[in-house]
Amino acid sequence: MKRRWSLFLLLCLLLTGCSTATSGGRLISAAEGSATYSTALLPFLSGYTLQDAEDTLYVEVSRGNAVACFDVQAIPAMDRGVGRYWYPHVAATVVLAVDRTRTDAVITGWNSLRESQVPVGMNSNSVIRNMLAMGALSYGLDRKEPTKQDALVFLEDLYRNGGFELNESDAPVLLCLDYEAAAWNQDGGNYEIIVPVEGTVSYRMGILSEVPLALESGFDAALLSAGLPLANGDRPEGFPQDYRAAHLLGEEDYDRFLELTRDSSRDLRRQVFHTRLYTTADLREHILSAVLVSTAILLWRGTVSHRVTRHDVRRVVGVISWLMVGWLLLRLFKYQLLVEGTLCRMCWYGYYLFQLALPVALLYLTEILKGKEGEKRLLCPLWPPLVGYVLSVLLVLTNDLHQLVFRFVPGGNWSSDYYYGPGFWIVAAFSLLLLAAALRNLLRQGRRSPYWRGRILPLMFCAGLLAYLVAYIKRVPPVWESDPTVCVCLLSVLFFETVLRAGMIPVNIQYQRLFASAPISLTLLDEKGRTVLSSSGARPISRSVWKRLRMDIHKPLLRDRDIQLHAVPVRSGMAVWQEDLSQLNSLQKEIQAVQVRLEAANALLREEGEVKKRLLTSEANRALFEQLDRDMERRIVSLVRLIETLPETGQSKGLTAYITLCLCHIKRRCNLFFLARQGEPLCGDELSIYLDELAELARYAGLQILIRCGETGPLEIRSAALCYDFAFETISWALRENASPLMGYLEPEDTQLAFRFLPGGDPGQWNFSKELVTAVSAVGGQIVCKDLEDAIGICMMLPLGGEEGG
Amino acid sequence: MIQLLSSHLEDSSTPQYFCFSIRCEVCGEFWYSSSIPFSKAAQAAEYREKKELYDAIYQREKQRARLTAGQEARERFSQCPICRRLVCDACFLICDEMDLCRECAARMKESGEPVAP
Repeated sequence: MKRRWSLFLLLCLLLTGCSTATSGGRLISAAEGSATYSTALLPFLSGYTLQDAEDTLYVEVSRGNAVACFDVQAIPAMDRGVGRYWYPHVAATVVLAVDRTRTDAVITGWNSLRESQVPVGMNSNSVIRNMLAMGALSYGLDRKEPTKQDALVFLEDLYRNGGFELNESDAPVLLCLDYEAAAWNQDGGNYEIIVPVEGTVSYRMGILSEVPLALESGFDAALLSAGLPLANGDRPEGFPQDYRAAHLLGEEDYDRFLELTRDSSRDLRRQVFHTRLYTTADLREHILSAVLVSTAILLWRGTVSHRVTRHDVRRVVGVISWLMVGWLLLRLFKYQLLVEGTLCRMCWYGYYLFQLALPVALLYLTEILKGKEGEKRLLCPLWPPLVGYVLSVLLVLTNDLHQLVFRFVPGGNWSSDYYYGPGFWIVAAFSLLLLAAALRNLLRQGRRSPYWRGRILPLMFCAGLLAYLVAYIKRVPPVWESDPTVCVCLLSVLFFETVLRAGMIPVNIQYQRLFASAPISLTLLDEKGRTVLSSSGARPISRSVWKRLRMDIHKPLLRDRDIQLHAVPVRSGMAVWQEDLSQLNSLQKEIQAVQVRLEAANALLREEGEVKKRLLTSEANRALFEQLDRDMERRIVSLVRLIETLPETGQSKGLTAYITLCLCHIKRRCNLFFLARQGEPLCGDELSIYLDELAELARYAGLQILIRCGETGPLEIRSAALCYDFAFETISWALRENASPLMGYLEPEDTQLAFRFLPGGDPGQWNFSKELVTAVSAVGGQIVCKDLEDAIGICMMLPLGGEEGG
Repeated sequence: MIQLLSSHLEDSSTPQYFCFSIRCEVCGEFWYSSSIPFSKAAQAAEYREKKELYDAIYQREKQRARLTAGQEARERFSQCPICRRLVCDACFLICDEMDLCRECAARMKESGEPVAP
């Protein structure tokens, strides 16, 4: 940014110039033809020195200088506040000076010029002289309603028929001021001074100043002796006698004169000589053209910078555009210089500073396009042309020392009277070589382009350039007469646009369409939070959201419940995209709703399960107790019977003990019943305790009994219950039969569990319940009586590890 | 109003800055207060005592930032006199007889211009 401002300031300095301090004390001969007058005046203006104009009349007067000029310059200047004192001294009348040594045609006025067919010229082409001549001619052709158009038609007619030239002092008839013709005659010429009979205009020449001037006496005589006619009508020898046709401008005529003679130089060039039809014709157009073209170039540069994504290409565009603008502005600056001095010539040389750099920049552009951005170092592909460029510029800028590029007579009219030296052709050839190299690169890259436009456009550009060169060589008017600077700038722009349109440079010109059709909600904000681009679905970003994003750009934030904003920093702003969370939110809501429903269903199921469990429990309990009742029914019935008979019996002790034994059996069987439902085994030790308990109670009943248990380990409940039942029934039989003593032994044998009883009595009446026998058989066991020679044993064999054979 | 706004302020602060948000109850959009950086955000607490000090400073500054955010929100939010909801300026209409939120205005067929379009 600072660099831009410094460039801008430099530009302002160039355009405005470094104005000198107010000096004053100088007599400036501003108007062409006022040199004689100024010279004659100088001795009478003490303290003043004569000097050529360095700037415009307005500026010189403002600086406090006394300026010699015509009344048509001075009066309008005073109306606009420039100059307060006007001293008219000399009358200057536009006349026809006919060289009688070259023509004897009868010429009396403007119309006679048409008839005589003699070439007419003006001895100057300065703006003020054109204005004076056009004013006089317009007045002469129509005194009542003078128009510039009449004068232009008249001069065009002269130009076509007999010849009319500007700045041509060698013509037989000259359109000039009367004192100039008189001076030529004094110098030996033979000019007939003719005041046109149709009419002409007499102007006054004098001094315009900001301060009052004190002229010493004898001034009028000095002017007359210098051959200048006085403003009061006194004229020296050699002037026509009859000035009646000459009209002296009054106060009311100046505005009309200015209106009439405005743009005279431009109109003379275009309407009379038919030149400058395709380029600028006067200073005003030069300035406007330079400003417009510079503006257009800078705008173009702006659009290219906007379109192009590559930074190196942007830099090249910047360089090219500033080269072109610099060239135009330097040219504009040169136009402002009134004196064709060294500065003016250096400006002329300075053109080549920019002109020669353009092909280098174009070549560099085509070189960097061969690779991707950053692949090549900045100066790597450029240094040979750059060295050539520097040498060429040095050669041109030092031309005053060696005259190798432009050759002219030092101190002469170098601006128009020069020719090219060998240096120029070397520089031009080098420049053309660079341009050719750039074109070759362009064509090569275009040929490799996969798009038809990429192949066609470079060819079209080269064809156009060739056509332009041919037209220039053939001097086709629109090309030949066009402004070469503008043409070169235009060609450079076209070259770049060709590269751009041919697809050799990635561009980003479709952002609007991209954003319009982008499905993602994306917004580009500038550094001040303003929306630059936004896709169609994106809602605007509020100020508060932008400020929060700027504070912490990497942290997303919620715009509302359903939209989350994410941002990334981009150059000069940020890109914000909006993530739609509505589907996620609705999904989350659905999940929550499902979760609630599931929890409710789970609670219902849990309650149902508990109810079922309670039902099943009660049902199982009922079934259990029913089964228990079935199991115990016989025993309880037997027990009830025993209890009923208890009061009637005489041996109550034994019966009571037996009843107790039965109760114990019922209790343990209930235990075993429930243990069987739990599916747990019974330890051999616990069964031993159970059996000891039975034996203890049996002893109370009067039975001598001993039951021993071997190492049996854990037993299945079913086997344990059978052993317990077997022991109970054996004890009951022994009590009933009085088979005391009774010996019992429980022990495992191989794969079987053997429970043996050896009773003290005869076991002939041995009788076990049918349920026990059936149960033993069901598990694969058996109950047998064994004759042991002097005794008979009872043995129950049960398979260990469950039911035999499954 | 300040109390109402304070009760609606949602904390969006981070260890680096303080920021609060309020959700418009009509359009649902969040408004975010100007973020105020924590004065010690750039300084690391090396010791436990210093960390405790920084935590205390953080809480104090956060309270201050909350008050500031409330003041700021007061300029952008209004309470609808009908539905008593807190609405942003874009949803609060200036009507002929009474200023209302957009929804209440539509319900009562009142027309008006939003405070901030």
